[in-house]
Amino acid sequence: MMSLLTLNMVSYRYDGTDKDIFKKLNVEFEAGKIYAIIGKSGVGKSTLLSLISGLDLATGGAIYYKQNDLSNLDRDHYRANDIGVIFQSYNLITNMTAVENIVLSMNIGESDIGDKKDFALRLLDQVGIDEETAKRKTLKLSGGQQQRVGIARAIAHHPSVIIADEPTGNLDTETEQEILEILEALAHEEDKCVIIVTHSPEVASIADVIFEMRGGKLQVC
Amino acid sequence: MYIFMNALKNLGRNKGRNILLALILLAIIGTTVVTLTITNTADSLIDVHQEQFGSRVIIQPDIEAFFEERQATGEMAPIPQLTLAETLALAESEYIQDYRLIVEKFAFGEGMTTLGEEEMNEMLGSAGGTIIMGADGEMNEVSDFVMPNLRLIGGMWQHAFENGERVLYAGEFPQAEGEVLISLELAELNDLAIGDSLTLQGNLFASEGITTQGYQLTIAGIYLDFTPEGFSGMGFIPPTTNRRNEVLASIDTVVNTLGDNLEDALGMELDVVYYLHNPNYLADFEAEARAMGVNEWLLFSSNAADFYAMVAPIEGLRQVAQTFLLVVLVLGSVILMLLSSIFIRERKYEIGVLRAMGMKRKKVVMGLWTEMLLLTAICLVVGLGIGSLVAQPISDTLLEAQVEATASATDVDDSGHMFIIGGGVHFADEQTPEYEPIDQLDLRLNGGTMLEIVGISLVLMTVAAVSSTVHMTKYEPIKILMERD
Repeated sequence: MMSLLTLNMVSYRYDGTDKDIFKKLNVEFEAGKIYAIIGKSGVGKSTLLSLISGLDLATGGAIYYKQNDLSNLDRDHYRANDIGVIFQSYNLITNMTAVENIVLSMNIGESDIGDKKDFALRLLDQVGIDEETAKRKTLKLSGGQQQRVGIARAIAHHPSVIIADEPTGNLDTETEQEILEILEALAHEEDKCVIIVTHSPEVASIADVIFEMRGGKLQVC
Repeated sequence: MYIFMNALKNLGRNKGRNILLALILLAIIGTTVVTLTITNTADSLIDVHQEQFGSRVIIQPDIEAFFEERQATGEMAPIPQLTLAETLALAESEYIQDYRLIVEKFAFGEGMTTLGEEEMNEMLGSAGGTIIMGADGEMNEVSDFVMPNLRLIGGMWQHAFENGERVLYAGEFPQAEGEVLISLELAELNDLAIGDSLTLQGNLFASEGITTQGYQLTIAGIYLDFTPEGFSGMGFIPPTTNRRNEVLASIDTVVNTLGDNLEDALGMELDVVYYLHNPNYLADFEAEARAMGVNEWLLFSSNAADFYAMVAPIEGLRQVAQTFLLVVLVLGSVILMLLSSIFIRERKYEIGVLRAMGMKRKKVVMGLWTEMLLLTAICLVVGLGIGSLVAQPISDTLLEAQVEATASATDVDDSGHMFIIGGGVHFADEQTPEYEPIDQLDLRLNGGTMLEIVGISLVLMTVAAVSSTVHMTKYEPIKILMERD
């Protein structure tokens, strides 16, 4: 199967430092699979996700999305259309309702769906948020509900790649399990490429491929 | 479209911040409405008064200085006056709205007896030849000098008929050159009637010497004068100062015998008052006159002080309003900039999320600007309403204070009235109307003022939005989100 995302000799160095946090990474990510990246805190897992999601640029090497070098792409467009990011701290706009967060994401991605609100409500329903909850400000939702909204937002614009940074880090075990089921379904039923950064063995256990980041290298476990 | 809708909803989502911003904007816009309405209405009113005022200009010699210099140098020279040619040329100036001119000629009526003449002759009695100052300034005894016994007056003497001092008793006003009006007393004294001829002789002091100037006149009408004949400390009124001895004619009748000698003709008394289009034109008008060669001893003065006294309360009110507007705009802009930069810091996380979701920087900026524009538009509508309601009472209160301040200043220094000698004596009654300070300003919020208010509001909005934008452009989404994590 053709690689969706390719990391070719990717290195990264923080501004003002003289040491690469990771060096010459070569990895390929395919559609329909779940990838887990594990490793100790501070080894650069989240930084790698930032590069993949186009929020930052590698200081060495290149990342290719569908054979296109990310550094040459319109990264705003890439984030709005091709990538969905699920954050550990949800990163929802808290003075908007759940459904408004979803609709906004669709608007930014210039979605051509007619009734965006109706679509957002159905999407939220799929991730376990009922209509009443969907119309509440996200600030008033529980952590689990916020993360479900975060997932709905990440997939609302039909991205090919879903990136999740510690998606269950703030959730209880039961909710964690429900979130993982959603992610599994996204990869295996909707053919998305799901990349998860996690410390949790439970989360890693759903992955088709597990990478461990250690000493600036990614190694398949 | 979603940017606009999102901005509209954001007004409610960020209620606290926007209410604070709106209050500041409202205060600035409300103040702008009040002050600009006052300023522009006051400007219009001052302009209208400037046009209607018709500031009077009197041109008269600086007698004191003139004689001081003559005493110092020992030179003799006639008192400088405006020549008839200069007078007529200045009347054509672009700065002049209107003018009043009277040309007087002391003359002798052949075969006529005038009022006071007999008493005058008795007083002069055995006096010998006449000594008189010539055009060269030398005192000469002249033999062909005729002793005047009346005055031939040409020009704009009609105001005495308009204000009721004189009435047309018989006949009609002079229509053609050579036609005159005489008083009923003079007509009765000489048994003159309408249609009768008069022959007058006058002295002309030209550069080549003294000559006699003759007038052949026809009586077109007879007037009745209700004013005193004149004043004198001699027990009788000399004939040349007696109002009943005034023979009224057109300017052409009086001056046309001069031919081309207008430039240096002396022996003509000129009394002229000019009315400027605008009280501020005096300096320009004087400069034009000087360029024309008007004598340096002639002083130009106007009653512009009356105008400034009249508009002083409005001018004061305008200045107060302008100063207040300036202070409010400067302070308001600074406060808006500070608040905007504080508020945008508070929304840093929201901006980071939007950018992380792929919203382009320019769309984020557009959203912020749209929010500010909507907020400004709402404040503009409310501010215009409130400002319009309170402007008149505020203006009345401030104007009352200005009127009182003006009155106090006038009580302390009442030296603003002009003392006129020489020029304009015939029009003295026209020169001293009472100019009351303007104590009423009916405010009008016209289209021009509205546009200015909208413009100022947009500038304020831009100040706030630019301040936000400058801060926002520094934000990188990854840094914002990492800071938060």
